[in-house]
Amino acid sequence: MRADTIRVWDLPVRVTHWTIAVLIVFSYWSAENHQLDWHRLSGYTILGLLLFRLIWGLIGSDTARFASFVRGPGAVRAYLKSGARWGKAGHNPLGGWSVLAMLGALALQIGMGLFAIDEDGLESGPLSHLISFDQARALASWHHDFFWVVAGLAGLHVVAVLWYLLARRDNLIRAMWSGRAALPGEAPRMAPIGRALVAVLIAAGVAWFVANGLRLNV
Amino acid sequence: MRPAPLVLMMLTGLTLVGAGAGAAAAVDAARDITARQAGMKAIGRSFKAINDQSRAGTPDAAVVRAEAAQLATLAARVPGWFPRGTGPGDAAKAKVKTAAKAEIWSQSDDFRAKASALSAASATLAAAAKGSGDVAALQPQIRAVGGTCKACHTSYKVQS
Repeated sequence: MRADTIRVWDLPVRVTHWTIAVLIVFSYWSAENHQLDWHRLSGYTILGLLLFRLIWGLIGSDTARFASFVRGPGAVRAYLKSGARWGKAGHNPLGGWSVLAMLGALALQIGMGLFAIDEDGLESGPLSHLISFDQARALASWHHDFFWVVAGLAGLHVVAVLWYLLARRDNLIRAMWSGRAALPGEAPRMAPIGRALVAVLIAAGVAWFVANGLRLNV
Repeated sequence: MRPAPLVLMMLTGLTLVGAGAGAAAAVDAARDITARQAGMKAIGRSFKAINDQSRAGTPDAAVVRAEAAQLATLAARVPGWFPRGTGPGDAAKAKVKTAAKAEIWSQSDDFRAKASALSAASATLAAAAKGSGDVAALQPQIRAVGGTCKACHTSYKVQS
């Protein structure tokens, strides 16, 4: 632990971030290699993480809460114009919107996958039984194409983080890994781990229910 | 008539007949390919309906019976959906798209064998569905049918 650092990102945020990053790659690989059971499992896990992130964004640590980093266009403009370091714990106004864009794109991608079906009518998402074969085929096609939007946003994110590291000497990667950064001021308030466990249980329960085709039978 | 104009007329006539035949072939190819794709989608619809019932809380055996019979009927037609002249080259000439690979015609014995596998598996499923109301017991045969779709597509359909 470096002496002049404060804790910025809690463990739940960091675990969610890195796991989603790995699972996006795994989801792509498993689909390309026709390992559809793994692909679905990967998607359900990302779904659970997204649901958790949504809950945590409402009740989590200071820096996890959407209210703390989602800013209006005026604030985004001011940040870009000033060209100065954000200098505070948590996402800057532009980064805040990139988070929403990535979470939103992932939600959309999973949403389409849940209803998709393959050409044989053999491999399908758990909710495909709610729509027709033709509709499910269309969603499968869009789900296939939309991956490039997810990948594009993720790529942009990596480029941005590298720019901050190389041009601004601001190591956001280390901050998101260790949770700590050298910043002035008071440390943000961290939510207790018990609250995270409750959020995990709710998110996992909803994700399981969706994965089960919105059925309660085991 | 002198030879030159006669030869010219014959050549013109032959060219027109040739062009007409080519155009007709293109229309046939487009019609056959479109019908084939519609048939495959109909198979997909029936198979989805069967799968959806097999995963439902309370499956409807009557739906499974009807869809399995329909699936068996369609499956028997599959070889007839691939006449000569409906391959990738013919599709390009007719300006339609097909995912059918040229190997269907160059390896026709194997292709027919795979089509027969679908026919046999779906006939077995239809018979089993007719004889019993237990949808859960049909699961292995449903999977077997799906396997025959996949086996043929892996070899003979362009994967997207």
